[in-house]
Amino acid sequence: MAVIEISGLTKSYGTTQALRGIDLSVKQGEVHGFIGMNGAGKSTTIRILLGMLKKDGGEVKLLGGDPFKDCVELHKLLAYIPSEINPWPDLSGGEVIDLLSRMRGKPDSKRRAELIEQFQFDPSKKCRSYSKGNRQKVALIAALVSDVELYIFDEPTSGLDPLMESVFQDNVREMAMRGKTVFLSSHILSEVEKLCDRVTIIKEGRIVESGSLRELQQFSRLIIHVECVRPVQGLQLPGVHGLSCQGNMASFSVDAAALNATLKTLTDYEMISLHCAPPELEDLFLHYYAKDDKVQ
Amino acid sequence: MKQNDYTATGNLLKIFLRNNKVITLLIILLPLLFAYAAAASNMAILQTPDQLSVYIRENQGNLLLGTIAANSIAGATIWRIRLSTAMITSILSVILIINNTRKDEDQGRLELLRAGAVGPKAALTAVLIKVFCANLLGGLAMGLGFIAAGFPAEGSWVAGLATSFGSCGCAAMAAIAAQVAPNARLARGLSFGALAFFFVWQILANVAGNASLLLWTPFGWCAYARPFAGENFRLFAFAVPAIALLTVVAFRLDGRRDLGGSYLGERSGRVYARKSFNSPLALAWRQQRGMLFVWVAAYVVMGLIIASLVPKINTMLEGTAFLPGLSAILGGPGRAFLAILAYILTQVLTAYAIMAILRIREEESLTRTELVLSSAASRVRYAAGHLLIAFIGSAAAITLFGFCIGDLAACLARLPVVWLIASVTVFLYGLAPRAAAPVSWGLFGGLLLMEFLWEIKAIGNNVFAFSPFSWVYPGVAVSLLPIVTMLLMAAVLVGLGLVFFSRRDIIAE
Repeated sequence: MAVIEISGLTKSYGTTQALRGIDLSVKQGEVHGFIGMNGAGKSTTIRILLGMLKKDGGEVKLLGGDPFKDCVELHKLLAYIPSEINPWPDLSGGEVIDLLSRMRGKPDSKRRAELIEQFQFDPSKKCRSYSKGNRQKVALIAALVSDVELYIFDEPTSGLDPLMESVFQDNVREMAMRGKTVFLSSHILSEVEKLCDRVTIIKEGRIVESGSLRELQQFSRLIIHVECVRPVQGLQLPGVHGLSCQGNMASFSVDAAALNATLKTLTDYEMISLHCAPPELEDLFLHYYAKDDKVQ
Repeated sequence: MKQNDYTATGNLLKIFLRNNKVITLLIILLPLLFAYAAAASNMAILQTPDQLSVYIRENQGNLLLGTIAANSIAGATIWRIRLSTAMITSILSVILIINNTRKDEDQGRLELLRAGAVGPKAALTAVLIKVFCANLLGGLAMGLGFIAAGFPAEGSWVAGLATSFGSCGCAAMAAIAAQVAPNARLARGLSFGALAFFFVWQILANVAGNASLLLWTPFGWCAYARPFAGENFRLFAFAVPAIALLTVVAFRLDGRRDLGGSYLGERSGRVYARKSFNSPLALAWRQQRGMLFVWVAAYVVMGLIIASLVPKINTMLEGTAFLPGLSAILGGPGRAFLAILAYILTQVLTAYAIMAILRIREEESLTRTELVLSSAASRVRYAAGHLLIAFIGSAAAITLFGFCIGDLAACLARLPVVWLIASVTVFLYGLAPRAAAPVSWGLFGGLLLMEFLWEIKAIGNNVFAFSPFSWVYPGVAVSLLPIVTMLLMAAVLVGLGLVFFSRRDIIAE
């Protein structure tokens, strides 16, 4: 069953088109990464899913309901962490956590205590005196404390230190093990790579790629580092990109289809070592962002 | 190294001058506008000495505005505008001071500035220079307005300067509040509390008929200086050292604390929320109750003070011709005085209702609305929490006031006006959230301006009739029909506002 099902979704603010017809599907129990640059349309998509914004066109189904019309019922089944939170300055962190989780229903005091411990958070201070990282912890704990079907995170770890980031990642893994669905928007690609089963890349209001990391890797180039006896010069083959040579070493990326031919040619240089790796998410991401720029 | 305390004051002044430009301009231009408009209209109305002496006799016993010192058109004019000018420029000065002191500090901007080659006293110096200069320019502009109308030069300058020194005094006090309070909201609250005290003190001084009491409220400084009536320059011998002293205190307090520190502490909060803290209404109450308590308390205190003055007012006004028309309708000058106060306080209460409602919009632009709505709260329930408090709160304040002065009916009859104007804000919030604050305040200010222009006879009854305030003006017999009409209109506007709100985008910026 698809927890989130979006097709042909459009949204514009005045004359700026934020979403130009996006399709997206998140299955139950998966951790789905949603990546793109600032202004690509990540937050707009999430805010439509939350019923904060009205769609202009297309279809959106969230947990089988309409995110705008059925928002109150749907929100009982989901928890949300915004990328930036301005909690009420006069309330203590503990009060904000309690208020938000009680309105959603099913507050769990044992889980609350665990999370406060894990994140090393002091809930007794007034929100106005929290640092950015501590304000983000308010949002994290308020969302993670609820046992719901779907978790929607919009750049959840912004402002957190690396230690707290890893605490957050542990929590996401644990949720995944319990069969919860997580929709994680982020531009910390290493985090997405570590956590997500599937990834969707959005650019300028359009989905440019969607699939598991492995699927994405198959359709793209391999990264090759090679050392030879003779200097690698004049390696001008179809499908080889970004060649850089340093003495007897060479690095380049190669289309999967051209791999065989390339390796044959390289044997002429008498290879000493060869390192061949699928691209990391960051390479993929940069690849998609660069590719579309050329089309324009 | 003492001189380094003030390094970069000039640069900061340039930055601060770019903030709140409209408010700064208002401080300079409103006194000019008030002076010239009031002078021109008085000269148009009071053409013969007879008309002038009738006007002065009729208005002489006014406890709000004090006595008309000079037996001339100039005297009648400065009497009419001195309190309103001083109050408006003081309120604006407080806002300017807090914005560039405690608010900048709250939001980390001051830290950014102080991290540069900036002396520790530069920021406070720059903002005080800005506000003092704006007020002095406003005072000079007021003097120019009077001179342009043909009033004696000496009295004109004294009137303008005495008024502007009053608002400088309030500005210096706000600078102290900014050091003492841990956040901008409390700093503003303390400052406005001081202004409210000065307002009441000014009335008490008028009731007591003791001019020297006027020295202790900046709102009385212009009256104390007696422009056009043998100017009393002793005011300046008091005002200048007083402002200097307040300024020195502000600098001392600033110098002895850390950046971000304060003399009143920030209390620590609860680890767990109370059991009942679980709904949008509970949250709205938590956010609104402070402001509501202050307003209700202020109305009760004013009601009690006024109630205690009623016997004295009656004897004082007996035999004088205080507002003869109104007194005849309402049965005595004392009742006329109460009716006017009830009316003015209704108008002021409208500002509370607008502020309370605009709080939802502020929440929205700070992305807090999103946080609440995404936690399974419906939009109507969310907005209704704030609206209930705004509407019931304004009713509570005016009811308690009416109860204190013993004229509940007159006060309650005026409540629908407050609700009607407030419901326009609700409507705008639903339909065009970005326009809600400017249009609401513009409408409210426009209605007050309309009344001011009507009072100085610049516009006629037929124009003022468009303002809902004219429907409940003192002396107007408020009948059931307009009350029911206003309530219905308010209900429709609120209903439409909520419908639009539940269908629109939540806009955060």
